[in-house]
Amino acid sequence: MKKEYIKPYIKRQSAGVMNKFGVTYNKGHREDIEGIPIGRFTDEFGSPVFVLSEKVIRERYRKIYSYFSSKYPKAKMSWSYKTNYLGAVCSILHQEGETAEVVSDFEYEKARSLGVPGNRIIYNGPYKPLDSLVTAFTDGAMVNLDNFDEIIKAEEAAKKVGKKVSVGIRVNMDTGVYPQWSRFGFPIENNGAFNAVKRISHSEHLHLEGIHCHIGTFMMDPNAYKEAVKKVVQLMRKIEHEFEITISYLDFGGGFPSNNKLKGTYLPPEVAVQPVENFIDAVADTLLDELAPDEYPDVYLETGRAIVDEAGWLISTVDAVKRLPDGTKSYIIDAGVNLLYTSAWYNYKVEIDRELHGAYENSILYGPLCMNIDVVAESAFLPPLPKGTRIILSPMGAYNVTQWMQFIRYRPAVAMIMEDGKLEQIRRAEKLEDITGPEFVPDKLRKFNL
Amino acid sequence: MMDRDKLSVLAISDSGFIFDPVTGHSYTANATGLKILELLKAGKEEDEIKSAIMDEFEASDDEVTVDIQDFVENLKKYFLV
Amino acid sequence: MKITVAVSGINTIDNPGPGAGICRALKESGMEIRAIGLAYDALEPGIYLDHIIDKSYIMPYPSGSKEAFIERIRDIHEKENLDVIISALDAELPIYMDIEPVLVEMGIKMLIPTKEMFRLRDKLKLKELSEKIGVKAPEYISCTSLSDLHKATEKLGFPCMVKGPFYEAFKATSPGEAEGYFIKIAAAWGYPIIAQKFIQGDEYDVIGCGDGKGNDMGVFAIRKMTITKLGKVWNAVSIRNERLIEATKKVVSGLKWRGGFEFEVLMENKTQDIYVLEINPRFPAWVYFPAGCGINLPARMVKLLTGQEFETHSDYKSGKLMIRYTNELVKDISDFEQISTYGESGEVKK
Ligand SMILES: Cc1ncc(COP(=O)(O)O)c(C=O)c1O
Repeated sequence: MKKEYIKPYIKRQSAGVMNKFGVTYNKGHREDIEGIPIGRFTDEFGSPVFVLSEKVIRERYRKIYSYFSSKYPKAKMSWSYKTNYLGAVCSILHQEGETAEVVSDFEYEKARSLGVPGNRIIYNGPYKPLDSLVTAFTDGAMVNLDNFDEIIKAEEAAKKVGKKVSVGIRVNMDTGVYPQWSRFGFPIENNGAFNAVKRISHSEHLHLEGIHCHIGTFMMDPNAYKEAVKKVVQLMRKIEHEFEITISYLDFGGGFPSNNKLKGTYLPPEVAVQPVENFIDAVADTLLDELAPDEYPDVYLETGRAIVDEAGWLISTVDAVKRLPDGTKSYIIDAGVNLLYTSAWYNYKVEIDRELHGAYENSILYGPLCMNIDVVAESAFLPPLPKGTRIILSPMGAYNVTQWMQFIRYRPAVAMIMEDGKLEQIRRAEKLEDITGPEFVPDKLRKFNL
Repeated sequence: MMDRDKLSVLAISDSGFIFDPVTGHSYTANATGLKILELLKAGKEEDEIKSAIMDEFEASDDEVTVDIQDFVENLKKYFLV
Repeated sequence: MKITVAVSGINTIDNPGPGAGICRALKESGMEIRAIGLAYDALEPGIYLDHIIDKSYIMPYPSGSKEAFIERIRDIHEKENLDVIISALDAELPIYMDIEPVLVEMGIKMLIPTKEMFRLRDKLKLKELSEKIGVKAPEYISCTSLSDLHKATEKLGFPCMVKGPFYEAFKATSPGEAEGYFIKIAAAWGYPIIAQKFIQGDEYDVIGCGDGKGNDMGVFAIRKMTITKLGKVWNAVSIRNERLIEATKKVVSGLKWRGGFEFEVLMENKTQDIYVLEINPRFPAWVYFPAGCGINLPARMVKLLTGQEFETHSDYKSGKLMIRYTNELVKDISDFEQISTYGESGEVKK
């Protein structure tokens, strides 16, 4: 019997990197996702393929909602479409009871087409075309205005609708977190928000109903939410006092982090990222401290990534193995930055589909594009991978399947593991017609001889 | 022809630890790596090394060919050959 | 009774960790101690200091996975039967705070700060910290742009300090100089950058240890005499200053501090008022100095954790001098082979 073959290696020891144990314990391999072997996904849908889990989405949502609603009686949640607007994903969350939070006419229409009533839509964002405002007001959607010009635009839309409509305002503030997202909404600190309210209170067409903020995304410090809640409640008091307006809802946006490893953070996300309960505590406890029970407004959260990020994976395949001139090991895989916009911010978890022996090396994962920037992972610690190895990247559920682009290659299929263990395709891989369909080639350009 | 003089002075330990007394560099290698290194040191050509490896281990011709090349590339990177 | 204590931070290099000092203090405490070094690199000097560290193991980086970290400790625990771990590096403290319950289950004890205490050591939380302990903080404004900086310096006046989020601090005497430092720090460390009011005074350090219930286990104050380029104390003299000691005790009682710490303060020349600059949530590299003067905090910590009686007094003499020096050891390449290939020094334990 011959011995098992392990790929040869030799490595020079250099100061600062003489720590085999730093990493050999890091052997990550996974043969399945929720019991379904990795190979089955690629057999059925090709490679690469995004995989989402119905079970994880529901579990994450329920965990957040039940904790939030157990602390604050009028807790509401609205699904942030931009985070993942696949029909199947939105529908799961609508089944769970989330309304829709949209930031464009496209997202608005998508929510409507999935069957969300207009008055169950929150319409946010710094740019809302006039027509879409008219539709939103007609449908009775919750519209949060971003700037003075938009107040004027909203008046114009309300005039067209022919009734006085309810609006909210988006505000920003210093919560001790840098950088401050000051470009969205009206600043609380220099009275910008107060002046906006004053302007709305004089309007014949608008009626102020709520205050919205979204202090940033992937927030690391729950205390920022304490600050936000305090400042928004103070603003609410001041408004109610000065203008005899009753604020019926507060909306604190999203921004809770997921277990993803932000570039530039040192500690693993299990340690660096605080549990989501701490963020909800920050919101709910501060609300309970600041408010008397008879003044509880509806309070919305628009949590996106914290619900869906960990419910997603991308399976991709090693197509070629390359050693760069400087000695660095690299692999070409079939998924690149065209699909993985978020690779600019995160060092994903990289797992392989089998146990492999051999020396672990810091390796680069390149995508399939002919672009120098197509780097999926700058430094993944991997044993030597043979061609055909499947690479599983995670977490993938947030912002990839929306921010991906059709560039150079078709976009791949998205599969969902259903709660009962069945596997469903929730978006098929693209075909030529999907891309050429909207195009027109003028007649005189149709002919050529080569 | 590969220059193998530098290989001859290496102190190779069974643990996979390799010390170069001339440059002061140290290296680590696994069993397969050590085997190739010993064979190179003994003046064997790549073909002979390949068959020696395939005699001892369960592996395909293609894989071993690429791996030996890769290993030698690494040695070149370290100026050992 | 033999007690096995694992200690990290045994990198006694030009930016030294406290591990070797902790081990030395424990060895001289009169207890029967087996000292285990936890290193992150095969060339950390502590690995080779056989006279104070009995055996060393290489640890996985805290930046890797938490499971890997726990697994390695479990592995070492099986071989060594650890009683106590003393963590002495900022970068690994969060992971220990996280896994402490797991360690307790294994029978390993630690005395480390809580997450809330750790959070307060953030430079941006200085105001909050100073309110909690009732000690002044120098006025500071965090800046993320040059226009923030201009506004800040207008308010604070010159000279003022320009500080990075983690390291580096410069005294600027003009807007131009402040801008120069701002750009330099931003390039190296990113934002936010802190503009801080300059206070004419001297810097002092106090080491202490709290039991987590508000009781002080002893304190020891020094004036830094020389510091290295990296801002680390090199020579120091012990002092007795009641105001300083009172302020330090407030850290322990006010925050119910748990574990070792270093309290860095500034004493204003004019008023003798004390301003907090920073709390390091672990023993500092000069931890042996107080031990040599009768305030053996690592030994007190181990005694507390193993249920023994310990002293809590802070009776030491002022005017004791700490002289740090460099030294060379002669070892064999095989010692290096051992730790770098097997991840542990000396005979490999089965
Ligand atoms: C207004 C608004 N709400 C909610 C979200 C969702 O944020 P997250 O995924 O960080 O929870 C975003 C994201 O940018 C947003 O802009």
